[in-house]
Amino acid sequence: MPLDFRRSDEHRMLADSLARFAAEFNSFESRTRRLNAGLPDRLGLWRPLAELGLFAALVSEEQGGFGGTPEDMAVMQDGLAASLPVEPFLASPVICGRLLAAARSALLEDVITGGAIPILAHGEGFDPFAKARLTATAQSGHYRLDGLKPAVRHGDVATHFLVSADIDAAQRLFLVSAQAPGLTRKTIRLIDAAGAADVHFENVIVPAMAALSIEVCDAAIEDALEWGLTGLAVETASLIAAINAATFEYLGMRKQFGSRLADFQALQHKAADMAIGAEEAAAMAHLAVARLSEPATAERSAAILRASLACDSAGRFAAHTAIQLFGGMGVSDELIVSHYGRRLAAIRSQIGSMDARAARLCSLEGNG
Amino acid sequence: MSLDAFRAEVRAFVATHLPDDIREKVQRYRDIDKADYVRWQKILDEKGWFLGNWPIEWGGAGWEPAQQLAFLQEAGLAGAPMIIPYGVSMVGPVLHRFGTEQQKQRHLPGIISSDVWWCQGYSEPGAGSDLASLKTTAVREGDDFIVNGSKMWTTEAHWADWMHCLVRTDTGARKQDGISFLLIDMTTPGIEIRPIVTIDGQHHTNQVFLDTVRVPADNLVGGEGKGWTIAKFLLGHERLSIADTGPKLRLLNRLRAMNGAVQADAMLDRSLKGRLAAKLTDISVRIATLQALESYFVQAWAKGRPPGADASMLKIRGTEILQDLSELALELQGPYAAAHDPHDLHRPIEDKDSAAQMASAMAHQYLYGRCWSIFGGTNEIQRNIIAKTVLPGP
Repeated sequence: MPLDFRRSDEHRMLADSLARFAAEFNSFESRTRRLNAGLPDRLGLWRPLAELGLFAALVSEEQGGFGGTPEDMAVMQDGLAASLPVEPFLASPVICGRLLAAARSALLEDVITGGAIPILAHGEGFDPFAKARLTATAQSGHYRLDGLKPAVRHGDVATHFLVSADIDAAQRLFLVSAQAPGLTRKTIRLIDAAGAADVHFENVIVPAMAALSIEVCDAAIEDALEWGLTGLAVETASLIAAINAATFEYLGMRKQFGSRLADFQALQHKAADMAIGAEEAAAMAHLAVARLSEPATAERSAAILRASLACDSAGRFAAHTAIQLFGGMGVSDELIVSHYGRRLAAIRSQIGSMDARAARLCSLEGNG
Repeated sequence: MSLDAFRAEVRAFVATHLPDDIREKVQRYRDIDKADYVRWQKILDEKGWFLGNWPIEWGGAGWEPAQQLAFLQEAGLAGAPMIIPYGVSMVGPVLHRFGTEQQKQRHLPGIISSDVWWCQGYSEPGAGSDLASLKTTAVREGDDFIVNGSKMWTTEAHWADWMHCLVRTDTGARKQDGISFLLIDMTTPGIEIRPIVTIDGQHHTNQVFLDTVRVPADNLVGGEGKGWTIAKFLLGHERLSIADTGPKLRLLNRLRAMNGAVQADAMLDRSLKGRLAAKLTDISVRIATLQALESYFVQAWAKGRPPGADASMLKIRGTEILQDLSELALELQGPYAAAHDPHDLHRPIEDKDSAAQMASAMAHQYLYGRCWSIFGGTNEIQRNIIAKTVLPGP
């Protein structure tokens, strides 16, 4: 089954404009050029997509947008995946958008216009669902934050952070400007050419109102992370489709020993397994998106984790096999196939490690 | 001397004679540059070990295969750089076996001293796995050959003084019979090197363009049409180093240390720790199996077992294990698993590595690891060789 999350004419229009947008602004050549440049080129797609109304499409009507359903997010992820953008579309308007909406934060307006790029600084180790260790201390009329959020993806370009912190053994979220005194960032480059930062908090004083008023903070963070995992599953399924299309075309074109590569049975069987993986990933991505509309339960969490793990397994096979089948060209930086492999490697650790996701599923299923 | 005593001697020698800066670079998975390789090869030569696998009549140490393997393993495990094979393991033996007296006198001293650096011009844009279909031509014109074409995936061509090259001297003959082995001075006019950046963001390899390159006919080795025979002769020389177990054991040690930190972290989930521990145990079994297989083959070769497809088996398993090791290395990095900056490989060795920079080194292993099952004869070609060896013919 082909990936297709379109449920309305608006979705169809959004998908069409994303396809045109990717072709026009994020061709392989222009992407390479932008990524070799510094800011603002590295965020070159941000403003144009905000102007296109993409971010409003990721936020619900009552919050000032005109969308915000799982399918809206999935159409966006599917539409952009194959052109490998490094801008934080999922991390900021989707993940932080949901948290800011839950907190009724005014910053959401700036997210919709593209003016603010808040990033969730939550995970501190292997497990993204683990509670924050970074500490918040209540002082007269304000809070003090101390600790480290390691390798926060997009932390290098964030204008704000949504920082999870432990306050008297409870978890709260704080909205902190990236320019806050005492907040320092050490930039890290990632395997898919996106950026991250170690974000250090040393005696960062934030006003009391920076503590977002969210009823159940743990649940809100889990919900936001599940939106993220679902978005990554969709992106993976979409990437597998792109990898397969490029690889199958190459097998039909490249000749060795007087025959097309597509004529060799050993390679036909690899292609067959890649095709199965694409269908499995698509089926699981659809399932995760459907689940995301339901209220958060342990069963929903387990279903989304299964989709995440299944998509990773299919993606790993597709990327490694594609690179192998392309031969030397597969490991060249000059063809997109190696970059697909790099993006999938990044996804593997984007919201906690794959093993941490599997371990969480293991405990949700009661397996031990 | 017993093999165990020799192993101990290699360990002791590497511990005392490998320059600290080079050891640091190797242990921390930094980029090793040409000068480092040259320096280490000269140290080995002084000890009489650089030519360990050359027979005594060539001026070598005449090591038995088991001793050669012991050296490779121990040196690799102890953090010594590999010996770059293009000169001492390729052109040297070829000249001894097929070269003229004049060719030996001209080229062997530079190979032995590591002062002359070689690269290997085999693959072409249209001839990788199907090497025999190579199209670079060498046409005789008086005392010279005129060479035209292009070579692909020429590793370290940008370091090389000379290239040993497979060229087509007869376009009418059976594909394999029209190929000759030519030595080309890389300073000859008409040679252009285009860097190819690989998946890891590094420049190791190149495309080499040859446009009307005039090469003296004296640089032909073994006579016209002998190229394929020589290429096959060289394949037999790779079988001892192909499993490359030393560096794999070193990487396994690093993974054990990383896993140790994970297991000691009281905040981490028990079943996550269990998964990582199980993966590490599984891969240690596979490395032990590779070691056993390699050592079994070496002993059997000494007793006259025909090599058959043994080297292909070692290459497939060795490359697959390295790839899986590097994937596990990423998983063990936790929050830093996606960190990868190509510049980290070139930072001064005096700089302390941050968590992200250590992870970056492992990401480099993961990315460049994808090359190993492709370069030097893809694993698909190796499987063809094995199948052909074990299955009944038509």
